[in-house]
Amino acid sequence: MKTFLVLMIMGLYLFTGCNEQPPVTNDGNAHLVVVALWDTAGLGNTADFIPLQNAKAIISNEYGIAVHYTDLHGRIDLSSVPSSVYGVSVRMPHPEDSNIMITGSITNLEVISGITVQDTIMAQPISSSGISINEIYMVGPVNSIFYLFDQFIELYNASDSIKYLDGMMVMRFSSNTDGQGPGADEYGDGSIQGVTYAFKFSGIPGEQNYPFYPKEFIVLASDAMDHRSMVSTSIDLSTADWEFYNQFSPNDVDNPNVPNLINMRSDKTSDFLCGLTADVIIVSSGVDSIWADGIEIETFIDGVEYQSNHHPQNKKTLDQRVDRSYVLSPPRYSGLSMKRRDPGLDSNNSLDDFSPDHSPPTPGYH
Amino acid sequence: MNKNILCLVVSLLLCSTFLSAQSFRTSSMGGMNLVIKDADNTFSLYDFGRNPAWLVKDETANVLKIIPGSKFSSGQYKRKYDPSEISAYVIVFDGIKNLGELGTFRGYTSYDVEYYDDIYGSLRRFTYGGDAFFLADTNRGGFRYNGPTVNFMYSLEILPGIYAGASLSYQLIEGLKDVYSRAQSLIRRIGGNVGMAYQPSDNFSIGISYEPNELQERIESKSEDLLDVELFLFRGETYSFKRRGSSVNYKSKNLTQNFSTQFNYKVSDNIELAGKGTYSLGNTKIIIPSGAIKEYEEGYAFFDGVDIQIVSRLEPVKNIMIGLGAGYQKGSSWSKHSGRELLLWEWDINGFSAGTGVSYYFVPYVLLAGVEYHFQNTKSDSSKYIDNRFQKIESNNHLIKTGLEYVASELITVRAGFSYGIKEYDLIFGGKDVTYTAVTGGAGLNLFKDAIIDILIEYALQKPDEPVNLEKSFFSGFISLKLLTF
Repeated sequence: MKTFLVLMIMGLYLFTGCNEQPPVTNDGNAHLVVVALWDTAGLGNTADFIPLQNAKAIISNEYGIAVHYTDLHGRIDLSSVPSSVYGVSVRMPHPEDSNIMITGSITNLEVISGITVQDTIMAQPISSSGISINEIYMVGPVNSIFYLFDQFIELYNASDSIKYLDGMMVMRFSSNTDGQGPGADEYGDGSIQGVTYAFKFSGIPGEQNYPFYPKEFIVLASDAMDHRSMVSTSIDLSTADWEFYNQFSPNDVDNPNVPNLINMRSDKTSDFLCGLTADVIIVSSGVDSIWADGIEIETFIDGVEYQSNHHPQNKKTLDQRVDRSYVLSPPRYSGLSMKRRDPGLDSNNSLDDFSPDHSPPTPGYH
Repeated sequence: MNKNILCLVVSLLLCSTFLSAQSFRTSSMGGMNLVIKDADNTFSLYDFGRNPAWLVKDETANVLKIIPGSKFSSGQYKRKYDPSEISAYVIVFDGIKNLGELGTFRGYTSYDVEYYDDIYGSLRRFTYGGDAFFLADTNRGGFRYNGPTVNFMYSLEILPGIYAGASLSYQLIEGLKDVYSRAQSLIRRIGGNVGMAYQPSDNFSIGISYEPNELQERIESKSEDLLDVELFLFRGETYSFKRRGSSVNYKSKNLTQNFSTQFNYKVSDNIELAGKGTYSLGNTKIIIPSGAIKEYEEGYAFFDGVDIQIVSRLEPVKNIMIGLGAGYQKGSSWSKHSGRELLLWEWDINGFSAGTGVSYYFVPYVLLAGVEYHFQNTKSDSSKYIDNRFQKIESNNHLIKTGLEYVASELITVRAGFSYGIKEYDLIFGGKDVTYTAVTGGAGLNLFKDAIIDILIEYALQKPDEPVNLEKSFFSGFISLKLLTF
């Protein structure tokens, strides 16, 4: 009987020794305060910081996106929020010129429970000027035969002046799967390695043969054809402005009525096709066309990375100087595209610039 | 959250109801377990204490039971992710073989088919398992679960007065959601129970047992067309993050361990006293794949609990049985976000219970009648930190059970029961002043030589005063064919 009791007590003691202790910090107790100021130093006036009142603030973290508005002091005060890495983007129209947006953003704010994180967004007016990638359609139409050849990229000239496409390059960066990943400045030399495809407009940079008029959309189609003849849910790209054509491919479609972007890599014999839900696309001036040693970031006109999941499932790899975040892509074969919220709106922060609501493609218009 | 431990207990009980479906007699008499003395409802270390070592002493006859049955529940008195309806069907084969000096063997196998209808998004089978993690898609739909369970138990007297026993159980359940995201579940449960018992004298026995149990649920949502599937992993009830792909996987692993001690003491021919104390430890891990072969721990929940029960039966005069019972229960849990080591939820629940009753056997009329009263006081303290919801609740619950058994002839015995209870606060579903009404019935048929048929039917209704116009009903029916020779 004694042995039995000793065994019982020892077992109970060992068992209760397995008890674990909870973490000492509770989630849901974080405090984030962000003040949005308009830095007017660059306007030629006396330098001043004006609070952005009632500006739209987009708060993003791994749990999604929420919209708030700044108060009279340009403050956003969020208490009792979960711990996460936050991004805050604010925007409001210029009080006197509606064509100008005052935008600013801050990313990678590590907000931890029990701590108040305070930061300031220095907003700047973004003149809606220059060429930007306005719409990306890569996921393919609704279909069951893996049809994906109706991809296109839409460019937009948001400026008030004529731009010229001569010699510009459109590239896909996905080869650098080691190291820092696709779109990264692997060697810290100011250039991006890992060009998968490089196609160029006709001519050389600086020439003025191919005008891109203000407020104009230009559609660059993988294949400029009416894809509805292949899949009824697809789109008509027979009237695209430009077509990617690989002159080294024996079977790439070529619409004779549409001018071509031609392949710069003779070792690539396939058409310009991108990843359905994740890839990096860059438009550059074409001044640096030697892709083998990487393309210099200075020559980039616009670049977008798109991914299918929020962090931390996927790591953003495109260099911060090109794009500070990424676009969430629609599901594959859903017939949906990624568009900017407003044509040409480009604060180099794609998560904010692009609409989170995916919609059917609109090639040539917004 | 405080309600979730009870939920867990109820869920496990739901599973084990089929296992213990052989106590047909007391169940059909309103569920009276204090004042009805029955071969399957003794205060022994085996029946009461769940100690496998005592099987050899408790089950001395060879028997094979074949039990088909079904259970249904429906109603809108439920939580967000509960199914509106559950239909469950089972067939059980349960055999006990006495091997003489070689001990006693029990083999048990069952096959379950369950339909969970109209679930709002949730993909885990036991959504409210007490942890802070939920998995949901965006579609309301139903699940079908089916699969077998096997259990082996063996007990032997290893030395005079010392008994050892062990059991091993294995359950494999497959689940399938009938609409997008077409989630498939694979649930595997492996459990064991190892026990020892010591009987220093004929009227006293004591035992210890250790019962580990591992439950793993793997869920995969895979797009059957070319679209991606999107699943939402909740940390708490408010915040979720999304995972998307052509195939999204999720795994939860639950490990529980119970260390239990039991005793039985026959004070005299008319008084029997028994008790048991169980200390439980458990944890649940939420595992997410990362890449082709890697996976990481997304969340972790810890559970522990204490359950102490003492029961007694007195027979002060012939044909009168008085039952007494008391208990103390305590449970607590916390859930954390493993990546950031942050506490998400924490809850604690404790309470005591007491019960008493009396039964009387009217000899001339071969009628057994009984009544029991049970009281339970429960205090819970819940802190859902990530959701910023905090709650303290105390509830007093009352339950009255009544039952009759009438031996109509040598061939037929009929049974009936009625229960009525009221809870100040329902910790499971959140209602206030919840009434519980149950009607039970059954019969024992000795129509064949060496074969007994038992029938059990139960109907119950749960209805709160607040929220109004909600209720939940339960219905179950079982038939047991007991073969005394096989």
